[in-house]
Formats: sequence, C-alpha cells, structure tokens
Amino acid sequence: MNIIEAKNIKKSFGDQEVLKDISFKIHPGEVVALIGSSGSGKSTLLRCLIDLEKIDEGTILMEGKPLVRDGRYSDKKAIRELTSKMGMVFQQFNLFPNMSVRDNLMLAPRLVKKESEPVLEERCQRLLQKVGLAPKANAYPALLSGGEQQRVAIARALMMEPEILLFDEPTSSLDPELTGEVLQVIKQLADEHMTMVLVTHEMGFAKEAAHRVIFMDQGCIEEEGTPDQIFNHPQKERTRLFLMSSYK
Amino acid sequence: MDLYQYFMKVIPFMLSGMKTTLALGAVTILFSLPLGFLTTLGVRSRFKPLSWLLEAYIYVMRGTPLMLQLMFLYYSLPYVPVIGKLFTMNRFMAASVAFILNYAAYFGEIFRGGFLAVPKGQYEACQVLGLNRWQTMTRVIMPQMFRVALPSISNETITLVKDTALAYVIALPEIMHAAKAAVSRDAVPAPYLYAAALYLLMTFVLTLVFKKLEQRYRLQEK
Repeated sequence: MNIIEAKNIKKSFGDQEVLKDISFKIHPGEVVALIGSSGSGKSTLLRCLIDLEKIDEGTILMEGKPLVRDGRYSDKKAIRELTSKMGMVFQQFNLFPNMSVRDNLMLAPRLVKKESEPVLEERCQRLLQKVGLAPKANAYPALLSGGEQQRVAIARALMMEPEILLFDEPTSSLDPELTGEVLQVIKQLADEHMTMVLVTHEMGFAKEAAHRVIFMDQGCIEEEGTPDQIFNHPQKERTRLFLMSSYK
Repeated sequence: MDLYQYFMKVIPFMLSGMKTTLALGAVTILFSLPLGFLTTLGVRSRFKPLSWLLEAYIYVMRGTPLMLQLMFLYYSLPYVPVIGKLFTMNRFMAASVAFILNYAAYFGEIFRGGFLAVPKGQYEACQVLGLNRWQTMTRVIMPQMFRVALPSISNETITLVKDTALAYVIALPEIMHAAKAAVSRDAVPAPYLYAAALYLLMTFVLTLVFKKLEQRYRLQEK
C-alpha cells in the first residue's frame, strides 16, 4: 500500500494558485526529493501533507485513510491520528530555545505519547548518539551551531517514532560547511529505509540519496523519475533549464 | 530641634505611608499581571466581540489620565444612579481598582508584544509534534513570551511604584500624603526629601529583583 497518496491537490493563497492539480504517491521506505525553483510550490505541498496548510481541493490519503477527501477534511481526531505518524524538520530548525536539547527531545513524547520516563530516556540517548550529539544533551539550542541544531531537530522528530519524515529545505539556512553533517544523518536514515520526502536545493544529495525525484514548476509536477532519469536524461525543457541554472 | 530629631519624629508617620504605598503596589501587581495576561488572550481571541470590547477597554485605560480614573472611581461613581450605591468604595479599594484596571491594560499590551516576538515556527513545531493548544501555550510559547516581556514588566513595575503617588488626589494616606502633611504642618522642606529617599529605596530593591529575574531567564538559554 502507498504510505501517502495525493490526488488532484489544488491550493491558492488569495488569487495566486500555488498548487495546480498535483497527484503523486509515496511508497514505504522510499526517499523522494522534491526539487524546483523557489515559488514552485514544493514547500507548500510538503506543508499540506502534514496539515500545516489546508488544501482547497483534492484528496490526501495516509495508508489509505483520508486526511482530506475531495477537499473535505476529516474530523480533528482523525487528522491528529494521521499526522502523528509523520514528523517534520524545518528549514529554521524551530527548536524550543527555552529548553535543553534533552527537553526538546523529551517534551512531545512525554506529553503526547505518555510513555514511561526510562523508555524515553533510553530513546533520547540512542537518538542523540545517532546524530552524534550525545555530549550536548544538556546544552541549550542557542549554544549549538546551525548544523548541530538541525541534527537535534531531526532527533526530536524521530523521538515520536514517525513512519514518514518530511524535510523542508533542511540545509538551506546552514553555512555550506555545515550541510554535510546534516545530509549525512539523512543519508543514514535513508539507508535504514526510513520513508522520507525532502524539499531540497542540494542536487548532489538528491541524486545520491533519493530513490525518486519530483521536479515541480509553477505549481505543477513537471517531471518525475529516478535520479538518473531526471538528472542525466531530463525529458522536459523546463527541467533542463532548471538543472542548468542550479549547477551554475 | 535639630535635623536628626526632626527626622526621628517624622519618619514613623512616613513609614506608615510607605506601608500603604507598598500595599497598593503589591495588590496592583498581584491582580493586574494575570488580568493583563487574560486581556491579551481575549484580544487575540477569534470571538470578535470579546476582542473588540477588550481593545476598547485598553484604549480607554491608556487614553485617559490615571488621575482622572482614580477621581472618577472614588468621587463620581457613587453618584451614578442605581449602580452608584454598589460601587461606593473606601479610599484603598478605589485606588486598588483604578490601578489594577489601568495597569492590566498596560501589561496586556506588553504581553501582546511578547506574543508577537515568538516566531510562527514555534507553533508549527508544536503542531507537528502533536502538542495540543494548552501544552503549546504553557510549555513553549509562554516561557518565551515571558522572557521577552520581562524588561518591559520591570520598567512598568517601577513606574507603578511612583504612580501610587497619584492616589494623593483621593487622599489615600500613602507616602506623598504623609510628606505633604508634614511639610504643611511644620513648614520645613525635609519631608519631601525623605519621601524621595523612600521611593528610591523601593525602586532600588525592585531594580535588583528584576535584574536577578532577567539573569535567571537568560541563563536558561546559555
């Protein structure tokens, strides 16, 4: 079964149509990169999947269950249940500045999942280890570098044990020398068959880590395929132009 | 009579004035801070009539002199037909109500600024992690908002200590009242200086307390 299925999504901000009839599927264990120039609607699309934005028309199914069907949203409880299976990592990290790294990780599972403290403690340590930040458990976000903050954000999302992780330009606000450490963590998750959808400008990374690449342009999916198809044999003129300008 | 003797003679009187000043200040802070917070929540509410009503309240409180509000509550309100009798208050009550209502409006605006300073991404992070509204507010937004608001709250509290002198117009026996009485009775200038010293003492203590508070909240982040 598809983990996510989107059919004929449409969305406008005021007069501006940002998503024009978008349909796609995400399979379990798949890593999908969403690429395209700014304003193409890729971030909006990602945000619609996790209900940070509402679509106007269309259907979004998660494991066959509707988040929204033909423009009509399910009730709050159902939406909560479906979105709780997703995690999200933001461009601006959005860590809680008033809490230590450990509390950033523990807050949501403690309040929402209500798991026992030892279980959470163990998972917290394991995940911090995984992103290479075990020694920073007691630090506050302001003291961490951008790359470290983003790795904490990834660990925080993983604390909820999501079935799918969404990344909204996870390296776009990082200094170039810090993107590597974040991409490496994402790559590791891909190797562990985590289902992921990434909005990214890192073409090299999309090529290397994604199973499928979706190129968006002006609110439409212009072309999609394997990294090899998109990057080495693009069929559409727009795709070619975009790739040329991003490699400059 | 030398200066020292005069000081010893007047100071008990002034200190009892200071007690009233402190009581009024404490009551005001105690009630206007939470009330101000509720005001902000109300203004931000999606229920428009409530939001409008509270904006009108803030407008009136900020747009008219506190002295007028004091005089109105103490001198005029009892003459209002029907409800007047219900609202006849003693001096301290009237002063407290006036100060609480006035300061709640100001604190409300301070908290509103604090809310605006918390980035939208914080709400979004809470949402995708599954926190409900109450958890989002109490665990994530309010601590950040409070930290941003603290310097302004400190400033406003110091202003409040000095504003209590306005209660002089309804003859509340606070510091200014005591000082004025002593100056008139004894025809000496010193009591005003004593009053100044007492105000400075209170604001000095408050400055220290708020500095400590700000440090504590800053330390959490570093």
